[in-house]
Amino acid sequence: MLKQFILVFTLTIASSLAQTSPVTISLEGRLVERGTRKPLDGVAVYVVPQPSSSNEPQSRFKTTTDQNGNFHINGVPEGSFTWIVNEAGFVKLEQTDSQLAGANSDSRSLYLERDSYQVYETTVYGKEDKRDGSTKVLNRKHFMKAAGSGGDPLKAVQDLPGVNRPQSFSSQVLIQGSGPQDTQYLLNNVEVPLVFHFGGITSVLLPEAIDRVEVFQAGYGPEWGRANGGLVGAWTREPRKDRLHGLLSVDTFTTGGLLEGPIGDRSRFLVTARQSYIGQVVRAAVGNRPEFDLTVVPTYSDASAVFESEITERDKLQVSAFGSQDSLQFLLKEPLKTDPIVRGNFDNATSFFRFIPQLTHKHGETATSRFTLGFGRDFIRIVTSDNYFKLNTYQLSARGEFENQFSESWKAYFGFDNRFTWANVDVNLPYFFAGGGVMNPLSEGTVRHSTVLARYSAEGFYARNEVKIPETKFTLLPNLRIDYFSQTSEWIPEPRPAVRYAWNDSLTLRGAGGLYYQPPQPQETDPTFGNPAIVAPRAWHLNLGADKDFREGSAHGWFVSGDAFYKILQRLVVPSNGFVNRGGQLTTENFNNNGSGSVIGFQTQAKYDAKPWSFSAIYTLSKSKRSQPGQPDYPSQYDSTHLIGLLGSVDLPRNWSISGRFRYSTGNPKTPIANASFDADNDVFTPIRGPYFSTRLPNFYQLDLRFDKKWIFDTWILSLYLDIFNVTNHMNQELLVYSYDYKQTSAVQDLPILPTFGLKGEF
Amino acid sequence: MKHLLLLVIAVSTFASGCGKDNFPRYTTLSGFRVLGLKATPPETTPGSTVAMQALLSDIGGGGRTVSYTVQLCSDPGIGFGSDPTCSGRSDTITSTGTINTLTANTYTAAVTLPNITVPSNIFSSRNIVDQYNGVAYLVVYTFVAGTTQIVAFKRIIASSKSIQNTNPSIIDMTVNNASLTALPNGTVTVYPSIVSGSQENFPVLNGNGTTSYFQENLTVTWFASDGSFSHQRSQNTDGNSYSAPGSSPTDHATVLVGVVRDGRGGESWLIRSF
Repeated sequence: MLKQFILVFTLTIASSLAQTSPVTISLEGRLVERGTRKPLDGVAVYVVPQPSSSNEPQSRFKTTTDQNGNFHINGVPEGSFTWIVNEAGFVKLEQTDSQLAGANSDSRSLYLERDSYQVYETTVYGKEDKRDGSTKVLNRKHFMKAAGSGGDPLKAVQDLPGVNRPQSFSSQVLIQGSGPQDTQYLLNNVEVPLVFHFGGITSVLLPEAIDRVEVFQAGYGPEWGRANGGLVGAWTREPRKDRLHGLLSVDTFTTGGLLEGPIGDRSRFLVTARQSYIGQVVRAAVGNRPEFDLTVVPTYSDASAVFESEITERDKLQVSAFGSQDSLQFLLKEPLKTDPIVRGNFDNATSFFRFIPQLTHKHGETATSRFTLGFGRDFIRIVTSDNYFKLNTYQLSARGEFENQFSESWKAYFGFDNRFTWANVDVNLPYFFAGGGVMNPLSEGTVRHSTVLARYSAEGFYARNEVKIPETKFTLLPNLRIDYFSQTSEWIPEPRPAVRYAWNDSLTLRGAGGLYYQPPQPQETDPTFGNPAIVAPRAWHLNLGADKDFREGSAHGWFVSGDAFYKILQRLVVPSNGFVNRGGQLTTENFNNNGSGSVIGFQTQAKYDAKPWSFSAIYTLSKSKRSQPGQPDYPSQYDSTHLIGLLGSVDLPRNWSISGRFRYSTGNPKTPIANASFDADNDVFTPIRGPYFSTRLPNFYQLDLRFDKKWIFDTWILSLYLDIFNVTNHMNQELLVYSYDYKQTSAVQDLPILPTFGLKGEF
Repeated sequence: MKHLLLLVIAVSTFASGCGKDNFPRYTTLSGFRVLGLKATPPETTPGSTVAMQALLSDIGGGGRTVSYTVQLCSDPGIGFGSDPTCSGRSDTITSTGTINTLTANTYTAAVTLPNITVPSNIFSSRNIVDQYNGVAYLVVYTFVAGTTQIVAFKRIIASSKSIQNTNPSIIDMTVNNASLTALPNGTVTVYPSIVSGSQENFPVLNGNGTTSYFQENLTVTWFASDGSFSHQRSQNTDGNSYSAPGSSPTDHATVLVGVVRDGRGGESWLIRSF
């Protein structure tokens, strides 16, 4: 009896144990975003074991990822199971797996695919900068997929309001009716001489390394100066520090790469390099022509590097470096038909580099200091036969700023902004005269030779104050900058007051203005080529603007901004062909400060977001005039009455996106040729100009389209784009060329429809 | 910098043939043309007199009379962008004349024009660099043939240099090392025979007082009334490919012209007709 009881008891217990304690396993792994391998934090991960029979109820195990995407689950029955991750914004993951108890258990890697990887918007909108409301900002998400600009951050600037369309074969940024010499370019706070390769094919920056581009327009603050039109600045992004990342890109003209990652716990780096093969494309396309032999195909390359480190909890160091070079040579088989002084070998090379350490020190919660040094070299060489221009310049920039919130209502920035230049120039060139935008033949210009060893300094000191008037909606900004230019030996105070009125949370009214000076171009004060009596040109700015965010917290809706601007331009440097008595002797004046002008205009931008659609419209109305002795008032060479831009994009399933851009602008002003005289000494005809810029080229319009597609793999992403420039093949007229005696003209058209492809792989 | 960029773009554009057109060819002689103006000597001293010649062509003009007006004045600064005109200059001297020598069957000829005397005070108030390198005296001709008017100008250089510029000299056109005396068949390469020493060395006084030395680059411009040259200009003694017409036209001779220039105001020419 006892034996029977023990047997039954044992069987019952055994049976019970068999039912309640199956063999279990532990699982661990890491959940990351597919393609980018970005860890996903706080995401629920389910494990659903395979039921042993159809009658068995389905059990489910759940865990949540930590900040590194790691997860761990205990007590899962051995055998087959399914991973399930169902997170908003991602494609649902269902992945079968198996694991037996006692077997080696590897850590799992789960890759969760986002619904869409087309995260970048193509529309552009003016974001109110924290300091100046009139400053326009382009972030990476804006420029990377802007149609018509090939992802180039600086070419996309033309899609902003107030940025005029340059004349063809150029990407110079013209701000609100000012000339190209009135725009200054910055890389990581340091001035650089140029930002484009070869007349604007592309900028000198790999787009993927750039965080944002800012355009400082009328009424910009005291922190910057020496630019009467405005500034365009590009800033590199912070290198990623989670792991090593890289990309390789190939397009029609260039190939480039980027590598970035952490160095220890506190530091990180980013390097880029790019090399063109445009020359090989050109050589294949045109070969050696009857007119010339391409002895050195056009080529360009650029590179950049960024190192960042949190030296201490209060100190952050960033060291960046940029370099760029362009070169081209060809041999003319006969002197240029229209200008025989241009003959023989033509050689052009340009290059620059900048090395920029920056230190930011936080004194406390309310005070911060920033210091930037910039050291670099600029080199230009242009040689045609006996004529040449060789420039070798070393430049040191030093900026510093102290920012402090002195009280609840007063915040101030005090700083300096200095630039020192050592220039070695060797010139043997005929005088250039391009009055009214029409160039006289170089053959008839007086050839002058000069070797210049010059030192220039430009020193600036500024104070920016933001004073909130208690119990009102006003913020007053009584700003001041003081500049010194060694070229003209001038100390110049430049008051730049501004005011803001916060009507409500979504509507801000603002006004800014003041005085702006820039040093003359170096050749303008040179004793041989210029006039040592030249003084710094100046501009008065006034800008009244408003920003209204109709979204008021919603993700969808309108954002509208508008600015009215007025600029008075004085002491402009203009060419002079007169003679003056200098030191008791008659000599050519070359330049004087007798130019003046004004710009008045209005610009607006409206952006509407309703994902997956995005749309933006810009409109600029402006009138830019110039005056100089001997000419009736005339439109500026860069005057454009109407500028319209329409930009739109849509993200489609399967990681497709389409974006488009339509641009319209009033035709560029041009100077008619009234007659021409035969210069028997030089075998050329000299144009006799009509009133400057009194006619215009036909209006410009163009439609560009861009298609993007991404393929997502577990550990890398492949992207392909097709950017079609001038989809309608509209023949925009950009230049006029003339018969030898200027009696007949022929139009030079802008580029026809031009598709460009790009391929990018990134991990 | 901006202008240099313009130069690069301009050279690249035109050299690459982006400005292709259906313009009349510079090298084809048709209608009234002014091909050259020669001063002998091209560079002189203040107060000196120079001889003037014009090289004119009026193929199809039927030997008509060409009238001209000449204006003389100090250079208003053409090399620095001033329009090449004496209008409004206080020292302008004006005279007129006619030419009746553009006759059958070449209708192309070198025409002797009145001599010109450079003012003796042309150096007045000019600095020593300008005086050494040369101060220009402007000569502006307005030629009228029928309804065609052409304005052509030349600078006569007055300088203080001890060795002054002279005109280069072209004395022959050769094909296969033989003088070109008959209309060639097909396409041939025509070479200019330029007198030895035409390519002179010359000094330039710089603004800082130093002197630089250069050698002239000679340029030969080619013209043809019939047939065509492959290039508008050749350099120094380089040849130029000429495709001759099948036969000479009946109403005029086939005329070939080479005009050599030294880039400093010196020039001369050679006419061949078949």
